[in-house]
Amino acid sequence: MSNILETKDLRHDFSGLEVIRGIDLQIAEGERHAIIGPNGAGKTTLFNLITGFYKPRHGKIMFGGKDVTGFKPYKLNRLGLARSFQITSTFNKLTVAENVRLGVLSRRGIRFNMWKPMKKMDAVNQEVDKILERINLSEQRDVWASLLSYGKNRALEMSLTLTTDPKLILLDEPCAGMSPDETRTAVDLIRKLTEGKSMVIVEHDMDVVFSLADRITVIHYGQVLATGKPDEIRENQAVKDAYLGHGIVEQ
Amino acid sequence: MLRNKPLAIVLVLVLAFVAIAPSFMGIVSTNMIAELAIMAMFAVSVNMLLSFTGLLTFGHALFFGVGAYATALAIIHIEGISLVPALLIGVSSSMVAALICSPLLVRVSGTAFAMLTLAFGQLMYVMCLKFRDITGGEDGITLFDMPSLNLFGLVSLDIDNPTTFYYFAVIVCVASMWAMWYFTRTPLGGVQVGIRDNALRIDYLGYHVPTSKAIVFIISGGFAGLAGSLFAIFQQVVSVDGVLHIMVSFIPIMAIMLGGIGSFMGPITGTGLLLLLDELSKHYTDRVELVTGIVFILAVMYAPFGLNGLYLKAQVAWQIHKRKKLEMESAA
Amino acid sequence: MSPVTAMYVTQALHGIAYGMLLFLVSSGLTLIFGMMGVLNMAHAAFFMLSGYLCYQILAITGNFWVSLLIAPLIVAGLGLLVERFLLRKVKAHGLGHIAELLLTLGISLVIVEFVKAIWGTESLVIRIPQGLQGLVTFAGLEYPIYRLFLIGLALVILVVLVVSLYKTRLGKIVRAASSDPEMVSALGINMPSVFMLVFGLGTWMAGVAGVAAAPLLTVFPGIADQVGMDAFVVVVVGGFGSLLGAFVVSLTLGELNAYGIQFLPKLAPVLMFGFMALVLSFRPQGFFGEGEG
Repeated sequence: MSNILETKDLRHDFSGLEVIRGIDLQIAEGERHAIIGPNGAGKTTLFNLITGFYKPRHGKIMFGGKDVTGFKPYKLNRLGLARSFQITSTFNKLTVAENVRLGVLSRRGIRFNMWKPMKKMDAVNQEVDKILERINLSEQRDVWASLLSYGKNRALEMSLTLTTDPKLILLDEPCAGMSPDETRTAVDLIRKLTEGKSMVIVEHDMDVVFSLADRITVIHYGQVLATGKPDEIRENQAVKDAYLGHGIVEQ
Repeated sequence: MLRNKPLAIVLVLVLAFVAIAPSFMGIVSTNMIAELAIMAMFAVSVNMLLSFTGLLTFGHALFFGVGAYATALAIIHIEGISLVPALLIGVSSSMVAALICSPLLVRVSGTAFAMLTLAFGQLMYVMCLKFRDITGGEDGITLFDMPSLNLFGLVSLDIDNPTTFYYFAVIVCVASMWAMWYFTRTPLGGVQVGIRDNALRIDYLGYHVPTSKAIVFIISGGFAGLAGSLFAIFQQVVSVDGVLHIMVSFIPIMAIMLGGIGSFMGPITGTGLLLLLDELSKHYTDRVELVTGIVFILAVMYAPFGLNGLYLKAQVAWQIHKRKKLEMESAA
Repeated sequence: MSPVTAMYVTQALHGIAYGMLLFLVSSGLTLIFGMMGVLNMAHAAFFMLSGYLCYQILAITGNFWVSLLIAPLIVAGLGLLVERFLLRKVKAHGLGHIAELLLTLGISLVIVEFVKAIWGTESLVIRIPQGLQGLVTFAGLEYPIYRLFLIGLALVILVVLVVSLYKTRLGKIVRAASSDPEMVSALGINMPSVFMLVFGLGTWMAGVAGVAAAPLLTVFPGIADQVGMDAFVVVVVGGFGSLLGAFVVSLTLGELNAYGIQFLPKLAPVLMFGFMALVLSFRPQGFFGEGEG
């Protein structure tokens, strides 16, 4: 099985302060991979490097075998990589349907059309309807995104990530700030929506990590501390030490 | 928009009024309506950037002025040119100007964008003042011989006739405003609003933000240039202070503020309000701009959503009502 | 000193004089932006207003020094009122700082129109005060005393400003608030008062510049646009919030102005605006600013 995502000796610093100190990652195709680590370990920076928000100071990023180091977000998206945002990032003054529609239009390559009204694009609108059904937001289709409840907004956020039909989905703490009930719903939704796709998730909530991940990578001080199956990580002494009682020991 | 019956009815009535106005109104009044149409169209072009792309511009006079000067210079230097080609030269010149500015403009937003457009606008103003031989400097260019309006090579109309100009200007402006409204219904119009609400997300959805912005600038600049060209024909004089001065950039901003930022009709109602304010205060004082300035400050302070604010408030209340209704129904 | 050298030195001193003037105006502007995130479009209008007040006070008292003392204070007071009762109350639209920008724009318009209403549109001449008239001779060069006075005045204010910012507790608070207002507020410091102070101080400096510039530039409504535009260029290129940047760029601009007028009259504005445009596009925080933009 080939790797959908690889990083080779990835390094990055902010004004001289090295935050990522040589990270090698391998995410296999179809795999659900979690990246965990104590606060300040560099998870968010790593995430931002992979998703094109920063250009790495050193190292390579390969997506589907292709060198995508330094590619801008829109390019990565068109190659099949999509990300979600930790702080819900939807289009506030647009309705739920309009939000989803933007994703669908992009997937269909309709980005510069200025002569046909969107209302008349039947195929597009049908696809929007189908997506809304899958994420249970059909009833709220005409509600502004900013007026949705937190949980529903997260669902919209997730679906935006998926509308461009990516091969690799990167989720940035998708369950942050959720109640246990909402988390359970979110995890089910994530499992359903990432069926057959590759996924990388950065999370703090260990329940989520262990119920979703096929493999886990632990980051500490900008380096890979350990990589392996959930059971291996659970038993790993170095990981336990690094966390010092941060949830993983209690499992 | 057609969903909104009351608004549609009002629009139809207004258009009907405008269509028959010359039959019962004098030249002074019809000229006012023509000027309103031109300035409203200019404000709508600014609004494409402000309300729909989320970019505040302080330099749109640049495109207005380029259009005006290009048309005026075409009329003076090209023998026997008729009106439509002269206007087209104005429009294409301002679109080229927008194209030239766009590589720098697309890189910034927010206050930096406002400053950059201010700089461009001032640059054009100062340059046109300096190159007196071409632009006539402070005195400007006067158009004595107005070109005729050739329709499809069949009919030749005299644009000096106020009524002819009235219908021509109003039709062109209404058509332009309709075109800009139609644009908001198209995918690129949707991307624009996406950029306004969340430029980062739009990037991550696979849209190339700089190119999208550039196209919007060129369209907006083009319509601003058209407004400038029409203005040149209307005034028959084009001067640097008349079409490139910083106030020319500020007035549409004030109009949009009064009419309501975030709406399509805002610039139109706002321009109407400004002109009304102008006319009313003329009767009481010489210092019309002072009154406008004070009203503007009051609007920013106490009615930040303008005339459209009432409409928006109603919309939000409706959305909340719908959501509450859904929640009550699903809870039941 | 040979006549040619004398000319260069004279121009250089002219440049410094205008540069220091510009610094007085733009330092307030950049501090206000650095702290409050608001680009005060009315700043130059206060500068202009101070010149007009100077004219009026001079007409009443006949004493330039009284004007220099009082006019900036009046203008600063006005600035405080604007901050306290107008700027503070403006709600953001969700489109960045648009509301504040528009408000200060409106205030600038009103001030300019007000000035036109009371004093008309003609330029008003203010004579250089008794003691500062004439030329001083040094190194074979004759130079107007008044301009040297201007440079000296600005330097004194600059020194006092820098000392207060770096040596007093209040100064430290202001500097901290300039990079992280929320943090400083969380420490229990009364941020609204700090804002008001900085706004008033910045406006006061613009007011001093307004009086000092009046005998040189004459007083007319258009001066707000002229000096205002230069001040924007300084703040943009020097860096939003950076006093050092404002200083360096003000002097540079002053020199460019002085020599540019001599040698490249048509190109000067193009270069200036072009440079500002490039800085805005490629380094929006300015040369000395900290990642904002």
